[in-house]
Amino acid sequence: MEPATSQEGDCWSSLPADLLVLILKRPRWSSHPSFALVCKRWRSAVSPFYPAWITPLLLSSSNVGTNNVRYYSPYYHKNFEVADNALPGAKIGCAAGQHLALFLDDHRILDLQLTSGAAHELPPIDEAFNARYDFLVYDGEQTMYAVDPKYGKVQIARAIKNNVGGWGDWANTEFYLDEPQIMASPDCNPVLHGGAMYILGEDGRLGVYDEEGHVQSFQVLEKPLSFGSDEREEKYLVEDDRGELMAVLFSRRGAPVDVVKLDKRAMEWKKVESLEGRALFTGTRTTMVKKTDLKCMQNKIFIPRLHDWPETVHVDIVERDGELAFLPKEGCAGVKTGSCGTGIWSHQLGQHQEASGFWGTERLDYSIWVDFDGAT
Amino acid sequence: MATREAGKKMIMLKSPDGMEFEVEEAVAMESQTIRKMIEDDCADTAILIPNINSKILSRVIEYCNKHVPTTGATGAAASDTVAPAALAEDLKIWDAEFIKVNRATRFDLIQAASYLNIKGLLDLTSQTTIDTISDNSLEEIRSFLSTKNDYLPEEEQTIRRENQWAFQ
Repeated sequence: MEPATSQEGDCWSSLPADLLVLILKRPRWSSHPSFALVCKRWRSAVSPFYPAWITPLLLSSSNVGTNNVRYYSPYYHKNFEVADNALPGAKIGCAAGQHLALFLDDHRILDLQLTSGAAHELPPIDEAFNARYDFLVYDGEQTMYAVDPKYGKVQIARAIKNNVGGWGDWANTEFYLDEPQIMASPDCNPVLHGGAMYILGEDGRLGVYDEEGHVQSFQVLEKPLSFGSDEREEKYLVEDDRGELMAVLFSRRGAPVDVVKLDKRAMEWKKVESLEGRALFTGTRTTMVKKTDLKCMQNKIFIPRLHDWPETVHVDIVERDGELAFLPKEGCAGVKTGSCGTGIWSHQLGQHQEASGFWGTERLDYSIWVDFDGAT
Repeated sequence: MATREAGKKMIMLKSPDGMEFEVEEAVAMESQTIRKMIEDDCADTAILIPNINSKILSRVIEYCNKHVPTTGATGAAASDTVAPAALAEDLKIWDAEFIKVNRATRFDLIQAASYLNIKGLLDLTSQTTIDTISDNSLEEIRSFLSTKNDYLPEEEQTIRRENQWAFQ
């Protein structure tokens, strides 16, 4: 940038306020705090907002009066409620990017784009398949899987998105399993990893579904055999940002919590001592690992249990330059400092933790983690 | 004075420093402010554009000339053969050249675009400004804008704390 010269004077700082507001409406949200620091006039021209991409958000739908979508932010400890963005009264299947897949009933599935509200109902799953699909998996692009992992027999139905945004018919494949078989962990969806789909077994085994052209296969791997630790209450599977397959294991009273990583050479679960600057969001059908610069959230595991009920802020979702933010509706108080993860139950990996804090929390039911960071 | 030339209606624009510019009505009407004056019949004689000097006004007219839609205009057969996408690409390149001006001129262009209500020009000038300062440090932005830091250290700390996520 060329520096200011004296004869140009300070014309830029004399820009009329309404014009300044207009100009400062353009840049991406993440640059707004820097602009607010330029001078007081600039700060007053920057509209208050809550960034929606800095951590995953816990999506939930209240059934009290309205079905408006709510996003709980662990950073702000607030619920952001978006008006005119209602969820149908349906079971949440899975989340992928800005998409949510819902079970309308046993055979009908809805693909909902969260920010635009655009909804596409998939063709009904043929009842002749005679399956009860527990899990939905969406690759976020063009393929949806419905999975019925019965012990000894696994059924996987697949639908593919067509060019005009609609969905094609479901095709179902059945796999009869000899030993070993798999008892799927009921808490978490299967995970897409390295071009295949992995189902986590209660005992630590892994079932792998693969597609090679038109040939589908399913097998339960000989190894790993177990998690190598005592029996655990809840188990979640996730692929992290480095492409590692990990599992999060909770004891009956919340703690201890362990994170294990699949060692592909030995095909064994190995305990992870540190998330290395990442945060893990789990306890819902979708689990995610995110690298974060927020020191207060690093190396922590978050689950949908809240210490107290958060304030609800009524907002609009606004995108600028690929970044999504919540804009408080008029009349709401200005943006407050974040509580940085203290309102939600979390476990710092590698630290001993009393179980008492766990029981004092309230579980946010019917919720799922969604990530708006760079998602479309 | 509104005159007729080759079947096109002409409009006279006057800058405060006494220069007169005769432009096609369609070009002048790229400005919503002038369009309203014409539609309200306030434009029989020359229109005086206050606060915009002849140097800036001539640049604004140059912009409007380039951006006036060619569809429906007489004798525009040549541009009919050009695909819309290619036309848009051509305009983008032209805009990028047009906005290569110094800070003071760009500031004047923003104000002119705002007063004359020319959306495309306002978009172009503000976006260019934002692009220029977006990737710079706070001190560089202040220097570019010739703006003084008027915060107390405590006030600055408060803003940083409220936006901790942005200042990690």
